[in-house]
Amino acid sequence: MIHSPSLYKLFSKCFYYPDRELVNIISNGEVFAFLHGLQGIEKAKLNHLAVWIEDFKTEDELLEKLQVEYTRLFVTAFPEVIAPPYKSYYLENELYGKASGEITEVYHENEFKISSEIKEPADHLALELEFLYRISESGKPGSLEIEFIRKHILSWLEKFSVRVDEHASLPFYPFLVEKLNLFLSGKAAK
Amino acid sequence: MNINRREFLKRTALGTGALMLAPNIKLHGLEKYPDGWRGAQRVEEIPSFCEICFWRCGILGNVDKHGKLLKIDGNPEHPLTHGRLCARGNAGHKLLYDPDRLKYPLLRVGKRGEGSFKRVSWDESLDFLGEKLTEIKEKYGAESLGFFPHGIHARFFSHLMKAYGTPNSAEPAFAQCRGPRDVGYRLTFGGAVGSPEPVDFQETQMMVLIGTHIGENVFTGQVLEFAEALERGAKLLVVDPRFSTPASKADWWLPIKPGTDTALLLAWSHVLINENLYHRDYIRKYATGFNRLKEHVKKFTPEWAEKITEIPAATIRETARAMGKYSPAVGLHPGRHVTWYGNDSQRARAMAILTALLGAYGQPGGLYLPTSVPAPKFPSPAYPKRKPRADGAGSLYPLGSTGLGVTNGLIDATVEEDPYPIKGWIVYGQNVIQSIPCPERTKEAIAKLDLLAVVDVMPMEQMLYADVVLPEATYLERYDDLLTVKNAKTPFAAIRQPVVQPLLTASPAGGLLKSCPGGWV
Repeated sequence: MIHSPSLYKLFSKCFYYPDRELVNIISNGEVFAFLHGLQGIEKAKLNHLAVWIEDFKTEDELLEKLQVEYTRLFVTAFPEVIAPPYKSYYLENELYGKASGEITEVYHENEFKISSEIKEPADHLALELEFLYRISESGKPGSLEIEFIRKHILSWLEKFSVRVDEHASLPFYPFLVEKLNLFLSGKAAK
Repeated sequence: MNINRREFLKRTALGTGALMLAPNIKLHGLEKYPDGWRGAQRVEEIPSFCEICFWRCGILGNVDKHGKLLKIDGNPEHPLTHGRLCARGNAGHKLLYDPDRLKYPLLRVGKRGEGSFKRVSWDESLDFLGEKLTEIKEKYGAESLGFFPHGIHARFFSHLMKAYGTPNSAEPAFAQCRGPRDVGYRLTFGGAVGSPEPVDFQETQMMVLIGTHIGENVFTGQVLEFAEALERGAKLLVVDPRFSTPASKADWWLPIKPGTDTALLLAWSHVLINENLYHRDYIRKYATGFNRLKEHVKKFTPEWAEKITEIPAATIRETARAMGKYSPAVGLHPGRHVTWYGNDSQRARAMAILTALLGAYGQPGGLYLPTSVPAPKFPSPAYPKRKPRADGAGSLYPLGSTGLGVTNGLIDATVEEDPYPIKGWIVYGQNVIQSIPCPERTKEAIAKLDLLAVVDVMPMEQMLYADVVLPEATYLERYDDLLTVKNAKTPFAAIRQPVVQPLLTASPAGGLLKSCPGGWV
């Protein structure tokens, strides 16, 4: 049995900027336990991740490593940002594209707005996943969920994951993107 | 850390028990509509002015109900451009929505040059900057901070730098652009050319372009004026090694050998003087040193110049005579970027002197004298007394602009620690490693710094060496200091206002300064 709301919540958390909360659930194994329990993680990969985690002497060290990796892959790099996590980027080659407007409308139709704390366009992956968490948690009809996944995430997730795979220096994000792809593709196939 | 591999694998294997993710995980991205909240706004047309080049044409931003900028048009109210806008200005929204733009403040992790940063909050980044600035002031003195500004938005930061107490500010406009031109004209007329160049296109009967290519460099207002003058029947003389766009419209195109402009200018002066085609009354009234000039150009005949410039002597004479015929309504364009061969100040002097011989300075059809716009300056509190500047402007370079500074002078001072150590740089809207010659020297200077702070809209190479990177708001997202344009036949003032609210966490300099901790200054 796959407990979708929790998976959406987990993935969303992982694609926001790393903070203490994230580091906690990584270092105590919760993230991987969860994913293993619901999707299964191959032994070799699990070992690889375990070795990687073990290498860190403190949580602070892990936090900084993740933050630097996240900044480099998803926020700013010279001369170009590597894997911007926005639909507009892959489909329209800019930020705040039409996709962003469309998705804002979808949030509004479901009575959600982006919080003033978050300074990102609506098509940011973490926001999209949080939206899926909210609507699936409150038991909204499934067709909205599947449509949203197909139209607004799977339409660009492959291109995004290629970038992440090619340029990541830590195993964490490629691992997550792979698992996310598996999960969402499975959902969309229904 | 509290986990080793074995435990990790053990916990992972127990995974199926953890079907509900730890309840203390919170997501903060979306919130429910507060009652009565209206997300949609009506479509608007918001006036402002462009910043992609110094011409600062008026724009109208078309914004949709989500606050998204759909397109940029020219503002018909602008007295110089009358609603026209060039391709770059039209494409301004590409900067606004550029995926590579700086989105969050960054702090360096790891060595300078590696490009390893972590995203931080404004508070963290400003605290870091504040601490460093305070340290530098206490340890070395406020003069130990160098500032590399550019653009109208740098004015707010310039105030901050002066209030902090440093005299060291330098932008490339002088030493890498129009410095020699302004020096040459100042030595001749007592004033720099200014910006934009005050050529009276409306009344001119003959335009002379040497080292400039109006029509390719898209200064919208100036191109319009140029085109109208041509339409009106004004003559055009173009001196350019290349058959440029204006050359294709010219009555005379002189394909000069590169680097030999001064020989041509001197030969023209020779012809005007020797054939009595120069403006005698004007020279008698306003000029000194004419006899020395006459003596000096005696040997600079068209035949002499032909050997150097590869322009036939007959052509040199013909074009000199044409200028004489149409004087004083000859618009000899001073050009703009002239830092080419090292003899550029003398070249500019030769151009200024030629302009004087034609009686065209301060005359209809030549160069008009701009009138200031009577806008009072913002009443800032008095700045503290500052030590002498380190970049050499006014001293080592006696004619160097103290307003614009000498960028390479400031870099040299940092490397040499002479006259005093410079331990911090704030680079605001400049691209020091690319724009200033000898990038290896610039990197040498950076290695001496305790602080390199970069404020910009896009990531530049210098970012790799920065300790802190701050995301500035683009011109489309902010207010700026009042713009007054005196170099226009109708002087005017303009206001910049946000066409859209700042995206991501970009914050205009104003916002930066509002949160400036008291201890900085």
